[in-house]
Amino acid sequence: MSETELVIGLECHVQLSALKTKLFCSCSADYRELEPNTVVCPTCLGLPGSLPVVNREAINLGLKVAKALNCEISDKIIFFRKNYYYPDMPKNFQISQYDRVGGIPLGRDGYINIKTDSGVRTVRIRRIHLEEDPAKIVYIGSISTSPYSLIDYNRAGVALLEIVTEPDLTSDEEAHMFLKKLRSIVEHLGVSDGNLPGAMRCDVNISLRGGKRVEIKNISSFKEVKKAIKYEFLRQKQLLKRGVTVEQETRHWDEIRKITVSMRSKETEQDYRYFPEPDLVPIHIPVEWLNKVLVNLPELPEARKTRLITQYGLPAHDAEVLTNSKALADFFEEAAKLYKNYKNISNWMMGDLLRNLNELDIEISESKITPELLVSMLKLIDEGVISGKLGKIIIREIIQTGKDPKTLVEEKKLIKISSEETLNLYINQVFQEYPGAVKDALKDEKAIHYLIGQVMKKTGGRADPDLLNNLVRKKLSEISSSIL
Amino acid sequence: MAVGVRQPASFCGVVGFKPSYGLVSRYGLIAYACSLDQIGPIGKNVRDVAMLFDVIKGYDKHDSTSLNFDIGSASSHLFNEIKDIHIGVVKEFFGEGTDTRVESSVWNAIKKLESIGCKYDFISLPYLEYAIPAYYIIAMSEASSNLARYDGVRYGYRADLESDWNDVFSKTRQEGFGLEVKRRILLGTFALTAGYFDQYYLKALKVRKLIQEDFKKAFKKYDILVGPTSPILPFKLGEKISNPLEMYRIDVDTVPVNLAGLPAISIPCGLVSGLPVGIQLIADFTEDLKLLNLAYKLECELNLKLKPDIVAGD
Ligand SMILES: [Zn+2]
Repeated sequence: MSETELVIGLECHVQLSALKTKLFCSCSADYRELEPNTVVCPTCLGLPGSLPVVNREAINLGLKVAKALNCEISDKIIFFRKNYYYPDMPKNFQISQYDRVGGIPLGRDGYINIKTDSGVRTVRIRRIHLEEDPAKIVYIGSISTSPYSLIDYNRAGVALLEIVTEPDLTSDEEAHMFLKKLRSIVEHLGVSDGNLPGAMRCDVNISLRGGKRVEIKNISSFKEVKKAIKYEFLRQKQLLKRGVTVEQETRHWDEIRKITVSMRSKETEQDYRYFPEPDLVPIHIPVEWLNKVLVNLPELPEARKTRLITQYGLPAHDAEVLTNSKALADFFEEAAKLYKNYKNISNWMMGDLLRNLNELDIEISESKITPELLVSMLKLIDEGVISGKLGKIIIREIIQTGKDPKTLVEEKKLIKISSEETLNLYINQVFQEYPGAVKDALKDEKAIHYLIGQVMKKTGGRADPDLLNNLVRKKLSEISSSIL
Repeated sequence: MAVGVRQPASFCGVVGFKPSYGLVSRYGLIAYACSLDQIGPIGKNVRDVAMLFDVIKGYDKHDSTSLNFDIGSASSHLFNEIKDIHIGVVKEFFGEGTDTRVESSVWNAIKKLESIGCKYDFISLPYLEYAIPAYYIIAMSEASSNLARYDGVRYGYRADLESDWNDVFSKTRQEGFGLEVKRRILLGTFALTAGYFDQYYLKALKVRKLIQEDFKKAFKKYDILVGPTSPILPFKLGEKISNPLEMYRIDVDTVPVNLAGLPAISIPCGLVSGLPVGIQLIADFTEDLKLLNLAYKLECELNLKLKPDIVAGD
């Protein structure tokens, strides 16, 4: 995607999953994997006569995030009603915050720095505010073909933090980096757990420069955002190419079919009729309250990055990648307790571990590998029991099965061949099979590597690379002297 | 509805008391206009009302607008001696459209107040003129939002229709709500709509603030403000429904108190052609005990034996 073409702004919804209860009632906030409509009460069902009461701890967590995102923090919390009809809304209005007519969001004018290929970019945060999560609509299969939908109110009323960026992002990759960083920050703060399905969701505003803005709603995980942007970019580009104007509209991300689909076009000019929530009184946040909440904030990714560089001697790039995910940084530091060659841990994590996770499209938390298992494998390599090349092969199996590398090695008879006698058997075979290559190898360094490669292949990657190298060269020099 | 305590009490010749906003929890009350709604007792006499009030008042953590302090026992405060009570007779409550028979009945009660040792003066609260529009804009705006939940999904009436949610919501609400409710939802929705919000809703909030300040100023000088509870005598069932503006006008004396969140009581002060008339007494915020105390003394002094004729509706 070209840097200059795309303009992207994000509206992220981060569930404050660290809370015990919902935002305006005392129902448990831990609603996942329960019978539908069992974690509900009159308030979160919006029954007549019920009233909301603010969960103060939600405000505390919101303040922490505002601080971590470098926001100007409001000294009062005022809730507004956002009025619109939708089947996931128990009251047909959402208690939210607003930044006009006397409203003020919890935080505004912040920023996050992200590292991109073209250097550090500052993504401005327009505002962050507290609001209640709607219920969950369950579709039968795909959203666009579902014959009916079901409503599960267990999620209704869970505390959400809406984080809105300025349109500062210019590619799917940047959006992805931003979301990763945001997730890492909220996880370091301990306010939200991105592993929980639906805990971090996103609406994307996207336009091709000069074109109309399209909003994509309903993207239920940060991972899907990249795909949605990519799809929408191509769709709009195709339209423009054919001379069709892009309509300003709201589209839904269809996660099953991996496409965006148009919603009713009348939704484009939605009037939410905001007004101050009369059932709640403004909450003032005196400096003492703020100080108490903000003192001893946990270490944030930026600080942790610096520490990883100084404490473990990691290169800045490694430290950046590791701290972009709390799980990765935790994994590294756990491993570093067991194994002192820190750079080696980092190399393996940045290289083969991440590559495999990417290929499998899973997060480290979803994989079976543990810091102990990685270290156990590194030790086997250091001790010469297996080659590094073999490590690269078995790490994928460890990720998928969580098997102890030692067991894997034994099961698969993968122990490194370090016996000269055995290796020479393989070398002799290869020299017989590839006489041409042997001839070339006498004068051409490249051909030597080819021969070594062939022997390695025959041993199933188990040959001790240094010994193999020596033996092949020795054999070649024997041949060369016998010719002379 | 917010005027649903004092005005009906006045029309029926009984006592109706609206406590200070926040003294009685609204948890469990089906909301019409949250910032104006206040539960209050209706009873045969001030003492009954005070006793019921003692039972229902008090802090409730389920209502964020509930006041977290104890004003004491209203029923035991009733018998306290009253002294140095300064009454303000609100000119605007005797304005255009007020039935002269209502006026004279209320004046009769004011004279009784004088005879039990109260001083009185006239006072003008100029912003009361705008109370009706401000009240209805705020009330209807809040109502349009509060009534949005009646969509037939979770409870209540649902139209017999199989279609998408939009159609089912619309049909359900079209069939389920009565004419007056629909009128209020439409007006309230309109007042909150972008482009009209500043002109209507925000302006109404400003008027509300000015009325609150009017009252605040008045209570620096006076203990209790008085006037009729309703400008007219009770009307027949269904008589006003076809003329909403005239119907809303009847609330002219009661709604200012709701806008300001103040305590007010209506007690019977006489009969005109067999129809009851009520006098309204208003006190400063959380001065509910002082209000009930004086209302009780006035009730004793009036010593009315009301037996209104029953007039059947057409
Ligand atoms: Zn609940």
